[in-house]
Amino acid sequence: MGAGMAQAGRGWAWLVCLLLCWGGAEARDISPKRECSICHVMWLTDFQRENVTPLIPFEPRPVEPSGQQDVVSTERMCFSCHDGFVRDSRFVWAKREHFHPVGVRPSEKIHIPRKDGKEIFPLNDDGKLYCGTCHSAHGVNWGQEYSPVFMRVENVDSSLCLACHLDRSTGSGEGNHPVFKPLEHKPAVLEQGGAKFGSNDNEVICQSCHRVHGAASATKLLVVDNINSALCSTCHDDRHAATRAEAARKGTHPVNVRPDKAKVPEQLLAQGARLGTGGEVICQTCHRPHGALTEGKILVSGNADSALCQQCHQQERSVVATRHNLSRSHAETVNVKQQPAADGVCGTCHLPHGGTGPKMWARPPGASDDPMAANCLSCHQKGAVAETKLPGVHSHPVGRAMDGINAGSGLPAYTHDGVPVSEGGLVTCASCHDPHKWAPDGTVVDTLQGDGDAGSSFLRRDNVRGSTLCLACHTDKKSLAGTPHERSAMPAHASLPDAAGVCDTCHRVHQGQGPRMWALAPETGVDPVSSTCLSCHREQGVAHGRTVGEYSHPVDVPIERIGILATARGWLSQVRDLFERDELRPLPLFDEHGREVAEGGRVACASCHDPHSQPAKEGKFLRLANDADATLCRNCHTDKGMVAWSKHNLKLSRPRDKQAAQKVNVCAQCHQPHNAGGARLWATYSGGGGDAMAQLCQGCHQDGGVAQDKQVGQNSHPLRVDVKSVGIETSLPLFRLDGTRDADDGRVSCPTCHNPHQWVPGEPHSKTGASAGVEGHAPNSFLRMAAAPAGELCADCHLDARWVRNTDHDLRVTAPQERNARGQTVQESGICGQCHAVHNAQVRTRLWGRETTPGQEVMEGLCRSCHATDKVAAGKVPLKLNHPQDIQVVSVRGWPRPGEIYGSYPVYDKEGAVVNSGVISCPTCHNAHQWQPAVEREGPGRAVEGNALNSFLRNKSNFNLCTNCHGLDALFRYKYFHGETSRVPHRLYR
Amino acid sequence: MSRRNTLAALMLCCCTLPFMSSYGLAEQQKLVWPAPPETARIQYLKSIATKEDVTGPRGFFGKLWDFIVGPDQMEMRKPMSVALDAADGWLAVADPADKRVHVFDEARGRYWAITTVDPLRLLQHPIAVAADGRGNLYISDSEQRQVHVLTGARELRRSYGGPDVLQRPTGVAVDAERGRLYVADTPAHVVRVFDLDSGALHHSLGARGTLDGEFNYPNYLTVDRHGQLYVTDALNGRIQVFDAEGRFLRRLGQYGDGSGDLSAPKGVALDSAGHLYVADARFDNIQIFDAQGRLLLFFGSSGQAPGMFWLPTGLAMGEDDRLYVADSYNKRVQVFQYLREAEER
Repeated sequence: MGAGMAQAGRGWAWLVCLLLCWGGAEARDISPKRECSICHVMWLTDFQRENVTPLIPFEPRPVEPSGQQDVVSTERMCFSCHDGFVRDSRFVWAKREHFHPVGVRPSEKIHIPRKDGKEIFPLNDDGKLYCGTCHSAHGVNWGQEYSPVFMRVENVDSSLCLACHLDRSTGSGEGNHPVFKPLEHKPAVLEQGGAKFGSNDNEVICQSCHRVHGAASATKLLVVDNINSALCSTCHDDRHAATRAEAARKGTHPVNVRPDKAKVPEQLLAQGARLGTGGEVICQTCHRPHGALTEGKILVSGNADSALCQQCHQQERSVVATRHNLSRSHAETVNVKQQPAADGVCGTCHLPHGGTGPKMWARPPGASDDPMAANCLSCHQKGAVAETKLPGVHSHPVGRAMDGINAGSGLPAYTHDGVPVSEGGLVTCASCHDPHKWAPDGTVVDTLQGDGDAGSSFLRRDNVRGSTLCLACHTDKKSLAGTPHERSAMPAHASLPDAAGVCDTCHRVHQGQGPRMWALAPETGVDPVSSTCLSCHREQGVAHGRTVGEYSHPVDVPIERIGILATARGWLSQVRDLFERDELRPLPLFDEHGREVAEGGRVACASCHDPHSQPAKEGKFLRLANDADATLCRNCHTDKGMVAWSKHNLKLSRPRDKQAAQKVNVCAQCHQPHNAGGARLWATYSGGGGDAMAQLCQGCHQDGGVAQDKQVGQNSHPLRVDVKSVGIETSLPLFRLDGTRDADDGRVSCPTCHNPHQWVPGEPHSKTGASAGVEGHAPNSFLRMAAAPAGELCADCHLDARWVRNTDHDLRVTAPQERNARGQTVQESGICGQCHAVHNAQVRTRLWGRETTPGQEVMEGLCRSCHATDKVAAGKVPLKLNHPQDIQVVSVRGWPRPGEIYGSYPVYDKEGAVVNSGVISCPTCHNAHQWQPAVEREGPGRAVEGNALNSFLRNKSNFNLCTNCHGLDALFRYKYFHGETSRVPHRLYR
Repeated sequence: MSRRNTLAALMLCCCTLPFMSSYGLAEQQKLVWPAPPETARIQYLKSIATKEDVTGPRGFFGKLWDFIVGPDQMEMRKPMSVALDAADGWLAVADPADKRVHVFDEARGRYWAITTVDPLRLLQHPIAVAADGRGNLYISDSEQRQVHVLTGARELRRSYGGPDVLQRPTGVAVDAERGRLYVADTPAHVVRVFDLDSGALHHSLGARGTLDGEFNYPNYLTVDRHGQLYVTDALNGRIQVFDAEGRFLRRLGQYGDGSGDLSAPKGVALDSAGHLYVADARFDNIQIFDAQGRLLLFFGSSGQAPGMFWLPTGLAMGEDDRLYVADSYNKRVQVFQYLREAEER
């Protein structure tokens, strides 16, 4: 029994004994046989009884292989009581396979402390660890209380762990993960895993990472499985990233990603470095929580002068010999952690943890929307170590989408997080530059001094000959070769830079002089894009023979002005041109900074010209063909293309004309985009006199012109009329004298009524005018609106004349077969054209278009064109149709007579002009355009018999018309003078 | 030879290993104790671990339903107590690890689980069950500190106890004829006696101690047809018997490691002959005593095969002398038949 008692201290059936020992507070006798043997059944003397069958095998030795002492320290012993009837302890052991090793002998590293000559943590009889090494079932007195978990020593802040594992708590100075450092917060994942933290400020203790019983991992007894550093990340979340992009956002070294360029060498693995389950770089690739090197940071290998970094990043070792090795070039500079550059080549620019943005940058980034470029600008900015190497205002763009132009180039594009990608990447400094390698051919030379050139300067590709680097991405610019824009084709000129490559004749990648990284002095006063072209195409430039002249196609104007809606999806036109093409080819448009934009852009030289490509031999670098179909012009001027199918295409109407024959492009027959002769980029000579627009028309429509048979004649519609001054509002275009359109201050000119690019108004696809012999009429003739049949065009200005429609004066109603002086029926001439001829009128007065019959004065003659015995209105000839001509009547507009309620009664001079004092003629009483006075509406559409209330009278003639002038006895006097029977001598009128 | 003498003699021949009878082919399939050539007294019948053990295998439509909605994976986790109801014929199994009581109705091929007392209260730790022979199921929930009564093992009828009365109710037994509900309060070392009708605490039995009528962690209870109460006095290593008025009558067994001793006594049950069956979690067997406390037979040993036990706990005896044993760590209920000789009845 004595030996048995000696073993008592090593028993561990603590759960049962808890009940016994605490129950001792009640008045019961403690009987060793009864109380102790409840668990210590091996102590029972019953095993020696001969009259019973032993139901528990007698085995006082430790139970192999668990290292437990005899049956007293088996789980069965505990659970035979603790099965729910008292505390239900069975679930404590849910993961009982993951617990501190037992049944093994302590390693040499373990030094079990002793007290009073005895080990505080005893081993079992075999000298192995067992449960009782740490636990005692007999209620350990901790001073204030008995141990609730029967620990032999109270495990305050892992003190019990450290009693044996003292060498694991010595901090990073001795290669161990720091302990007793406070955490800002306790990670929930760890707490859920059963982690414990120190009593002060959530300090890290052994149990923060390790769990002695029920650990998540079988090895290391970690509270959370540390697959791919999952455990490390619970506290070091700021240093943990699942992707390169996340690493960039956290400014930390990527973890959990497979290295691509870098390679973890076998040597490092042999030193204890670990890789993730898929070969990923993880925390333990560089760090070891225990047994690390003693220089701090618990590294697996020494990092003096960035040696650890360079073990994996062998490709970047070449930076050591370059000026980017700040430890040599600027040893005094410090990074954001105030670490001097002399500490190591990598650390001057990169911090494995605590960096900023992509590439875990160790320096204050410069100002750029592109984080990668911002890294470079941290040195390449004023006041920084590389202030002599600034990119300048006009530098190659960064942060812009590559849109795949680098595909196949071997040059990298990067995400916003600095991750090189094959698709969707952005261009940045590192697309062209490899900051770790001075020369693209890998030549390692000491470059601390001196300037680089296009064959070095950290470029990824030799750019000396043929601009190989530039053209690697800008493959569409290779077509420059052999064009006049290639340097070899240019004459020597002072303005050209001293350059060797193809691109650098015009472009300087950094420190350019203007937009587009321009290498020459750009022209001022124009948009950024055109300014670059004009740096050569001007009098002082190398292309002084190819200037654009005073009258040149406008630039810096919105394309919407000509009805093109430019969108990111393409161009839409308000007019589907004659070719009925569904799609227009979007041409480049530019914003105010010269950047090409899909929407809201403005026209520049480069909209039509591609300076890098000259597909045709015509030498104009045009983006679209300047062919007979005017493909280039019509791509924008969709509403002008139909001119090709009209007589205004001289190749149709004047096939033998020399001037026309020289012009392949129909547009060029009249216009030339540069060095034009005048307004509207007029290509041909203009006629004299008149306003600018009329001059353009007269250039052809004059004697000697190609359209000399189509002149307006002496009696033609007036030009330069200020329509507003005569109370006319119109929707037709009006023009200033210089030819510019002005709806407010413009005046009438030829294009007010005519659209020279379209033969039939409203029918852009009509080809009826595409013949030299076609004769025009009111429905076509390049009119903006049809003038037939109802005189729509005329009525747009002459609004009050529109009531003539469908009256007796509308010959469609009364004489549809009647022809005017030009031989046109009303269908051809329109209702207006039966009486009026806009050009080449018979009579100047009222531009009369009919054969007149002589009358007492001009106006009567006009009316008698029809109202004569042999004319179309022979049935409507008044008996006495004229007022005595020797009576001069005063009738001033605005001076009403008594009863003159519907308007004035105009009187005329001999030429038919309305005057204040003149003779009475037919229109004095009649308004030929309105059937009924004061009733402004069209006629009924049939011939009707008039009476004194209508009949085109200016006033009702039942009484008022005559009495307005002649007084109340007017009727009597009329009968006397006009009636054959009544005109007899009378004493009153002798 | 009288029955008593026969069993006493056989006891010496018993061992913990099961024996196959050698009487012919059919007899070879039987698992009986004691071993032949002695007269068999206990026969292993079957084990119940899943509902299919009672309801039979799933039919076509059952399998189709399982395929559509997923199979209903029912298995016992820690069966701790069993109860049989003669009226309704169901078998209830308390499973505190699963926080539910499994109910099997073998006659009707039904299974259901009780997880809630009412819609707002889940069972917390149903550690013991009892039946009153009238279709009522009594569930002792040691965490809720209450004993719930469910009519027909389905609907809550009422609850007994509460935190004011019970510290940790465990074993439970019912004497419906005398209107008594016995509840063991293990850590309090008492047995609380409730009036079945009023629900009030009628009186308590015992206190902590080793004298007669005193307890040291009592756990399982049972009542015989005379109203005598059998209390497993676990850490005193004995079974104490009280009359219907709560007076101490006798005790059986003593603490020890040999046959006839009790080391970790658990469930108790009585057969039609008045024999007392005691499960022992440390011996992994069932010992059978006569009314005087003499060991008649023990059967079972540590293991997982039929007839073997791993921490056996609750017992229940049917009227047909079928013994149901909650084999807690083997996650099953084993069923045995007491083979009473015809002339003994």
